[in-house]
Amino acid sequence: MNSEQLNQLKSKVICRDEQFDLLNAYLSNDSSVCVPTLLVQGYRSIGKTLTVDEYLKQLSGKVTRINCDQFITAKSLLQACLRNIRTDSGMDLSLSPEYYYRGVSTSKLEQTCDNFSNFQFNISQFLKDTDYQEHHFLVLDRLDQFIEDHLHLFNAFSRLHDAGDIKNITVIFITGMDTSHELVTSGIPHVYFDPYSESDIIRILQKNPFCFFGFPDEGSLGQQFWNSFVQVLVNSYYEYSASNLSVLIDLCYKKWPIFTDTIVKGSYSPSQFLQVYKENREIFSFEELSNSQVINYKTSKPVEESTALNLKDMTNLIKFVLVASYLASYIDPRNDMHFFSAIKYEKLREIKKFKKKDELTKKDMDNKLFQPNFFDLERLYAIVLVIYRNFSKSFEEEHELIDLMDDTDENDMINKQHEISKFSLVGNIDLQSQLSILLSRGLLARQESRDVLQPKPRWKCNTPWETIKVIAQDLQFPIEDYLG
Amino acid sequence: MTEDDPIVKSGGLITPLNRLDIGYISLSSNAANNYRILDEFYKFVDDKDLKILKISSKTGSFSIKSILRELVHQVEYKEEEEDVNSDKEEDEGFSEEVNDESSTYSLETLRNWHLKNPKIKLVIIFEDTDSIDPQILNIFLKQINVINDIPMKVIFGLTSSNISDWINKNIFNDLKMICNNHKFETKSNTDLCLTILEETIVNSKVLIDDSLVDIILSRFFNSNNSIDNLVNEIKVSLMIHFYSNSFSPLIENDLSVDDYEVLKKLPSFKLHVEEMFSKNQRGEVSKQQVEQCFTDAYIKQQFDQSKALYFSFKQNLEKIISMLGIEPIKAYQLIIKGSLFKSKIFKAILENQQDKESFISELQQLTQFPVVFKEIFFINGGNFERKLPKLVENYQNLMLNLVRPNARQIIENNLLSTQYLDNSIISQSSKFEPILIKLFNLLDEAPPAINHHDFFMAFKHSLNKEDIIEEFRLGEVDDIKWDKILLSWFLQVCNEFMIIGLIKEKSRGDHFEKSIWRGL
Repeated sequence: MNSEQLNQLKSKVICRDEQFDLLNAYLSNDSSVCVPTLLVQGYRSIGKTLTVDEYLKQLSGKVTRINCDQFITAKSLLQACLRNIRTDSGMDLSLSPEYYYRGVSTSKLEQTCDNFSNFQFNISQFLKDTDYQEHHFLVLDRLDQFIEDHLHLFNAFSRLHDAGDIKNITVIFITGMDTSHELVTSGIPHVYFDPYSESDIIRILQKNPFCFFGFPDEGSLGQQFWNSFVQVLVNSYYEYSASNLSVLIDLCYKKWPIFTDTIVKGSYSPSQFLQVYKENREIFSFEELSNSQVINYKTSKPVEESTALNLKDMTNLIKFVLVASYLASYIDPRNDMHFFSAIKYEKLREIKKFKKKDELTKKDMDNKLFQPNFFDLERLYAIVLVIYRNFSKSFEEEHELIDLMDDTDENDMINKQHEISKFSLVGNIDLQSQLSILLSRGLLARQESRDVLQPKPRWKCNTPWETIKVIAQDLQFPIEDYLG
Repeated sequence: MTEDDPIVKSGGLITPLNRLDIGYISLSSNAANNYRILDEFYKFVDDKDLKILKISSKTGSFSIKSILRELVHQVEYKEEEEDVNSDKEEDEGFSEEVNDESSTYSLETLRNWHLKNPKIKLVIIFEDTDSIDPQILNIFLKQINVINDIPMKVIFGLTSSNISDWINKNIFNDLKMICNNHKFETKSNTDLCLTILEETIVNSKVLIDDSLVDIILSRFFNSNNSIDNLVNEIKVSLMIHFYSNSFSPLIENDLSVDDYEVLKKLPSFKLHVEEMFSKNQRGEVSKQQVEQCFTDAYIKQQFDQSKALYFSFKQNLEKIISMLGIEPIKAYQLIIKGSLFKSKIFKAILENQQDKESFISELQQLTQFPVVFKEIFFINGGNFERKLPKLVENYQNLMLNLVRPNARQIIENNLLSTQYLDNSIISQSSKFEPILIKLFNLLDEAPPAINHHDFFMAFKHSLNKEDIIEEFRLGEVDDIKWDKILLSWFLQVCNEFMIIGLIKEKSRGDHFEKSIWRGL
């Protein structure tokens, strides 16, 4: 490509001069000059794909683009490569109507490409059949986001030429920075995209306005307003976004309608940027960055939400089971007697073993920090039973409703106490159904071995402390007392 | 924000993001209710030009491949099945096609489908998002975004009430940018329950007894908040009333001659007579006075009075509730319990009233409901006993026992005897008890820890070899073969017990442990 074309490209896609020069050095439409493979690398969303695309467009060679993250198996990716190379080549496909699979020809693409060598064979066969000589670029974009091992794919494609008769295909890998050392340190030519600086980003966005007032004629005044808007936005969020352009573009789309609301309604003219900014200064906050906006379908307004759990919707039993599962997960089973039994446990407790001074043991740490332990279902039942009996408000309800002057005499009270002490939940089918609901909601987790001879599942609390705390407060259950 | 929006145009090199519309249906905490909500949603979208694709944790959402396969399957194969229902068996023969990876996983199938049916929008619904690994959801969103150019919506059914919090915790940052989130509110469970009960009380023919209201409400708020369950409870109660209570038609019909004899024996009437005498006359009551109460005329008079009272109460119910201005169900409960005027709530209401005397007297007038022949006007779900200090959860109630059977007790009772096998469905008469029952009887008598060998020997000796050989027509059986047969039966049944949770196998020492906790 001559320098005039290159300059034209550089003025279209700014801040990427060095990369264009490198690309121009490596790539060409002439198969004898062009490199067989090229690795393009750089952080996310800093124009890698755009630069390569624009360059190849200018080069006007045959290009096949594949986004690796769209495929969930290597086989389907290879099939897509094969199909697209065939169609993008512009050759008469009737010259090469068949695919080859394990030495047998077939008309179905679906049956081919179960490994790389088969893909390679099919490609070379296609080149041979159609006598395709023109140079072809295969761009494998987002290689690092491929769902299977991308290194495997990289190694395979970088040896595409080793097969011998494939000479006119150049593979361009585009990848982010979070890849393995093997890929970065490989010997193939390498184009590194350095991150944009803050002023670069402002220049790029100012050059390519994409939000408008919607007025019929906006002219230079609109451009001026846009320039100031971009300046303010990038200054506010550069710390967060760094060189990631798509985050900033997304923010532009989100902030622009709010910011320009007064102008569209006619209160201000586009020349009064400072006034508009003064009024809307608080919209450039960091709050929204960590918060996804959800819109209520009925009212088309953002939903305001507070708690993660809808406590009103939960049954008493489910709350108790959750709290009990948390206790079962975080209390050492050896201390169960101490916490859940009516008898005085102090005597039974073993005398503390000799401990070195200033030494931290597991007991000294807050057990909420540990992973939840597994427990048996029966232990959960036992704990639920104890805490339900002791703390359930449903046993007291009647007194709240009616004055105590009522006809409940002392005898009745004693009877009731007796009944509470003998009360059992396990005969109740609801306990199981509530457990299954908790399991399906992912608040409890179950580990089950596939071995039929060991059919004992183990359970674990899967709810974070914050949630449990809220539930315990709602039940007026002193959970802190149990987790010393 | 879409491309049609006048303020957003694609300019220069930067084009607007193609956002994916995602809806969130806020589900309740009860799985059964969630299916009800989803069913309603499906009914709502049924007649529209939409193609619904359903994904749930049960249709194999353990990996991204299975989700995509399910989607493609729902798009492609359902239509084919409709066309060639008769050739179904033949279809299954083409296992080759099913194995084609690229066609079964590729979302291009959805795009092709859209090209064939351009007017129909695709809606992908995740029925129970909470049970699906968020990692897989993320990959799915990424995949589905590829074909985002066709009209398509994704809907997540989510039990978490704070949706933005859920998104923040579970969706990758770069995917959050492409999501256009909408929330669909659903009716709160609690409100629905109260509305249903209220409607039942105000609109149905009969009134609900106070203990039944207690039972239903306490069950709903304490242990099972499924709406289906609530409806079932009310239905069963009504059935019990109208099927097993022979006076129930009297609410509509006039008294016939036969009815008097029966009405005389109703407990509420007897109670009424008792109370009448104990109130009015201290000391002896003459036989004549008592007999007078049991004459047809008196009964008719009492019955008519009760009936009139009942209808007037029913009519006034709404008025009373609006006068009190508290939750209708609570008001109703207080009235029926007869404790309205004693309650704290009423005191609070009274303080806001200007003319307290007339307010009370008017209410007293309005809230009179029939006490005599209560059995006819109230459904009680078949109470069999009620001593005062009963926990609501311990009530002995026919309806409660029907909807919430004591599962463990039933299992154990049925394992102890073959009684339940004596029915018309299982007609084959056999001398021989099922092995499960034999072994359970042994287990029942055994100590908490049982040695494997002892257990097996006890089992072996409890069986009669000749009978069994004859029963199963085993032919010639030598001792080794006999032991083998017994051992396989024994192991099978022990495994079944373990699955039910009756016994546990101890890892050390060759013994089972009974896993029945005392008092639980």
